[in-house]
Amino acid sequence: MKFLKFFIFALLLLLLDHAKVEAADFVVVVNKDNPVESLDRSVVKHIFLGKKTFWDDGQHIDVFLQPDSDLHTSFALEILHKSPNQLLMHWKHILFSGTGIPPRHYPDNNSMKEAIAVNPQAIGYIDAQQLDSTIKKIPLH
Amino acid sequence: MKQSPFVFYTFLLIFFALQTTSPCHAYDVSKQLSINGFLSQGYIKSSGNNFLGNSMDGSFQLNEVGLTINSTVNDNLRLGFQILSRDVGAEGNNDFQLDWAVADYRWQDWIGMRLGKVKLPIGLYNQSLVTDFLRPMVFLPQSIYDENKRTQIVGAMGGSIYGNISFGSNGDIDYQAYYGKVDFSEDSGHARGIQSLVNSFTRKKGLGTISDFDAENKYVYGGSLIYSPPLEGLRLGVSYFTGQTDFDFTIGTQTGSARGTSKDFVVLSMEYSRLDWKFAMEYSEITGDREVMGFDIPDGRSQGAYAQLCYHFFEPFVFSAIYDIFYADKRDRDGSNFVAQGQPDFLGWRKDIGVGVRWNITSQWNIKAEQHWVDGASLQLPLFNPQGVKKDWNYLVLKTSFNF
Repeated sequence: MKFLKFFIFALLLLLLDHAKVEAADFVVVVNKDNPVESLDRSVVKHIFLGKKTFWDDGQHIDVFLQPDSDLHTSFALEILHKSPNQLLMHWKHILFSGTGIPPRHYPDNNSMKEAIAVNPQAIGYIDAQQLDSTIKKIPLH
Repeated sequence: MKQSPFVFYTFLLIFFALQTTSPCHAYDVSKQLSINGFLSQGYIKSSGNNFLGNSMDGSFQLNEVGLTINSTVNDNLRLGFQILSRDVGAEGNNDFQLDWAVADYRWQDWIGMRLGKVKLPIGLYNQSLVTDFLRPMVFLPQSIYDENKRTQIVGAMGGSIYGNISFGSNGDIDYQAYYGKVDFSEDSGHARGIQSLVNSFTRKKGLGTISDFDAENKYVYGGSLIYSPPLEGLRLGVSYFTGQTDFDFTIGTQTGSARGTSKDFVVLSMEYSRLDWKFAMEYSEITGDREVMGFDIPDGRSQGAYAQLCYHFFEPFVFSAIYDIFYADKRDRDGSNFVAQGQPDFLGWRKDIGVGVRWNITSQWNIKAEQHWVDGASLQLPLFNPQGVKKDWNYLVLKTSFNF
């Protein structure tokens, strides 16, 4: 009976919860030579959570993050539906259980753009205002 | 039985060999090799019963140190290992062990293979048993992740296949299946539980006390499926495990043997996670089939379940509450079989109510404090309380953890 009461209490609290989604001004970007033209949001989510690790042509996907930025918070909340800390814990669970390696980190938009421009397998996100011809924007649907 | 140093040194040699034969540009070295680790220290104080060691006096025997090294050989192959030193009451004593060590080859998203020492996917959280900084409370729920059974369920030398199967808008499934052998530690709660059972049996038969106790696991196998449906934050899981371990010992001038089989360990799991909330619930059953010197020990099918709620009220604190129940035999929930053997009925159950708080000082460093109130003395509690066990008891745990 105690177990049932605890369960009902927990469900009531969950119903009171409201997810916070903040406005985001990011674009998902890949290398210019990547044949991908657009991606489903759920596919992007799977890529950044380590569930999808290969492009459709069989090439490995190199995932890049810039975690020390407001952009990262927007990206994590809107696309991954996780807080930055939840995303960090997700990847640490994978790391310390021996089932994978977390994405590479970059400190800012410029370093992210430079890394993606020279890596045909890479995917990342940058501030929409920083988009230029060295990389390719991927529309999400 | 200690971890074979051969395996560890072999992996270490492969690592250094790969690093020295690869082109060592600075970018390549950092891309190919990553080093991480963690460090934690806790304090446990209990009243009424000792838990996992001499906790009634207050104990600092609660720590872990881990070093994790990964090397990406190419787009499909990763090599990695984690060295672990831990002390949890009577178990561990800070000996260094290989926690996991794998050659991980992933062909495609839906299929990959790991060879070496692999962590076992039991329930949703067994693979992160030693990394308490990743979870809201210090111990995982004992009804399912019993610290005394840790040696048998944490990892196995062998291999696994794994992958992710996507169903598009209908969600995806992560699966793992494994087979291997466990390096069984004689100071583990599980081994000492069997040793205690054998001693009790041989004394009753007038054979005296045993010596030269040795444990050897024969096999473990199992697998898990975790379904992430389209409902954001929900995970549903089912896992299966079976393992058999043989024990040899000496009584006087004779030798004897025992066998412990953990059969059909099934865990059903549910986790619902939002930005500020997490609710988890798991249910398990396991049959402990034991045999001493050819005599079958009457074991039932035990049952465990818990519900846990965590809430991130405000930065940087996470509050948690748990209700955790275990019955040694689901057909003897009131413990009448124990009474028939002249033992207290409350050896048949363990009901734990716990509350705790985690303070995230930084993303790498946290402190936890939690209090548990327990009714019942199942899950090997007599091992740590040879003077007798009490029905109602409680324990306080404080722990700080750092990882990089």
